[in-house]
Amino acid sequence: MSSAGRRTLVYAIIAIIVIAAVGGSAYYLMRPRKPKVIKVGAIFPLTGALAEAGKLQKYATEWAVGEINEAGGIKSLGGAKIEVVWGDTECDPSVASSEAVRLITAEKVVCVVGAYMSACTKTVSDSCEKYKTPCLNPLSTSPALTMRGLKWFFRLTGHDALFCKQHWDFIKELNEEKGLGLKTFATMEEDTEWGVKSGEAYIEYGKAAGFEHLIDVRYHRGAASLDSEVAKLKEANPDIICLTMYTPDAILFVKTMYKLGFHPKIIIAQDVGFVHPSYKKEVGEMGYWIMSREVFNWDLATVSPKIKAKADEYKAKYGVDLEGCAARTYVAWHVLALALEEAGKEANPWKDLDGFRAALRDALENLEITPEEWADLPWAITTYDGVKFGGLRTGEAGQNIKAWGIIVQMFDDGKYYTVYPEKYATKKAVAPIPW
Amino acid sequence: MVDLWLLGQATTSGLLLGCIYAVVALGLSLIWGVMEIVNFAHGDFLMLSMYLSYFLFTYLGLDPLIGSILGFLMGLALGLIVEKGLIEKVLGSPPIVTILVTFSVLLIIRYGAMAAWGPGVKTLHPWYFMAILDLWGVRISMAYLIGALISLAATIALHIFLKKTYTGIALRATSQNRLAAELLGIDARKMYTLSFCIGVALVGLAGGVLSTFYYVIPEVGGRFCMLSFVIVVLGGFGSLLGTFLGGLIIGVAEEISAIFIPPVMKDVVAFIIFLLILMLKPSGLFGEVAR
Repeated sequence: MSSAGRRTLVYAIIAIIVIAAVGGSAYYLMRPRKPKVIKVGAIFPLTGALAEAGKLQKYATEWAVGEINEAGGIKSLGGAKIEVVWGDTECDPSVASSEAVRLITAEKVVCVVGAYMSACTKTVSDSCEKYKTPCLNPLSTSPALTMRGLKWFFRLTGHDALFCKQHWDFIKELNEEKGLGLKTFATMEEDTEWGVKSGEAYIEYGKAAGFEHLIDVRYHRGAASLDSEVAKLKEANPDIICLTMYTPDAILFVKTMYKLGFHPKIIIAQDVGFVHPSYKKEVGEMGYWIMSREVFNWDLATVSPKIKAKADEYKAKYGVDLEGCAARTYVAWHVLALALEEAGKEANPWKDLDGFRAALRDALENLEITPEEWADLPWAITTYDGVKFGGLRTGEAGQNIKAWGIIVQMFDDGKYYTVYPEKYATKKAVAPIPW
Repeated sequence: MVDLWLLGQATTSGLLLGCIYAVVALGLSLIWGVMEIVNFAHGDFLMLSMYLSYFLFTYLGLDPLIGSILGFLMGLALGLIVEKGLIEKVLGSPPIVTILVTFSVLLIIRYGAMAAWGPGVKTLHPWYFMAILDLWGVRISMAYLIGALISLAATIALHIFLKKTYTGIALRATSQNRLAAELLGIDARKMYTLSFCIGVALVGLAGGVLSTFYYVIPEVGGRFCMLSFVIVVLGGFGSLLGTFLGGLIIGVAEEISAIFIPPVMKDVVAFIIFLLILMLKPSGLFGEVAR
């Protein structure tokens, strides 16, 4: 080849390289980008005996995350959308633990939200602690969960000890106000972490309130019959019975109580089984006058336009009434979004996942929402006085110390009405039960 | 000192519940006795029958006792489909194969029910649920009593069928010695199909009975299936009388033990009694010793 020809060839090669470089760069810069997502694990009982509660939590999660993403996602992370990665506890603590490990190590979630059953939340939070991943719990209420010295576990709802104290303050007030002459109580609870701890709290605070504890009946969850258990209660003849049960057992208990003619003066329950839509639908008049603690009730909408709007929206979307399980889960995701915003200012989850998880943990620990701020937040539909994680008892940590509940009672129209505290009450409590 | 009323209430509840446990276990006993296979899907056929009763009651107003009869018929049909479609094809294979087949049926039924009807708890309240018989302070739900009477009737009917009819005798012959039965002209394959169909039909009947007082969820079969295994082994393989008595023993043991010890331990007592009986008589109460 002549020198002119070689020169032409070189120029041509250089031109091709330059064109390729410019074209490739332009394509890279202008290519349609997949929006960044921030993965958060959600572990609920999606199958198993408590799958109904899992379904409600799933609704609430989809609802809340949809709102957060539509509002622009996590702005400090460039508008990244939250992507929920589901885990199923199958109502089994060992499965729950495995699911948490899967979500953390394989799916690389920044945080885990879950897990409903206290026994499952315990193992999930243990796994999160081991892998230094924040765990935000919307609604497990065993007091022991925040007494383990964990640094990565945060519980938004109040726990059973707080609720029990509230119950006994209420019963004491009622006893004095109406001159009921109530003196004795009995407790009945299922045998998992939640039931056992709730039962213990009822006994502790009941005795502290000056009532005599006659008998504790602990039964195996999912029992085929509660005849002997209820017969024992009937024989003891307490004035007050305090119950801790999931939905199927609550239905069986109420039916058995009717069957055996057990008629205490006051029946008060630890939410869960006694407030689920299935329970209310299935027990009918057998459930009248039973009281329960709650953190949300439909009649809050009559005292709060904000709550009414949200309750109507949920009902239109999912066809069921908003209740405490869904309400607390919904609120938890919004609280998490606030923490993600703060964490996003300090760390980048796509470059340093561990660093981001630590930043998120710090953000949750430092998060504070005052009662006034809570009142203004459009998604703050539970009866908390705000959010601040800490401890109310020696050795407690990660507990939202502003999480209080309400007490509701089923009246003879089949609906639960709020009867305590007074600022939320829409009816006066009926006591003793008019058998 | 235990109150006599409490003891009387627990014993009565235990006997009535035991009858119902027995009818749930009868079908399993028959299948096990004739075919020598473990039907792990037993409890889930029960669950399907309970849902059938629930839907018939809720949407058509049909009494669950009629639902029991329809559950029986549904069980016959389901039993035929499962036996002909699956079990028959693996008979003669190592036991693990039939275990896996019936376990697979369990998973399909259970998770299919979950997908179709959701996890929500359902109950039905026929008029007799609210009717209570009060005998000197011992309260008996009419639903329990009717359920127990149906269980007793089903056991007697099955007993008469097996003892007095040619087909029943042929079934028993097949369960005792398949080869000898075939030499006598009995089609063992047909007997297997029949026993499986009747077994599932009986649990279909039991589902209607149980739905009159127990809640219905996709998981409900699991607990009763486990109890059925215990009852069948306790009573002796293939022994109807043994199964019935086994049901009564477990029912009474559970209810009476709950008044003396923390009720959370009552299952443990029932299983301890089960183990003690087996230690004294490994073939079960009325089972025959293997030669």
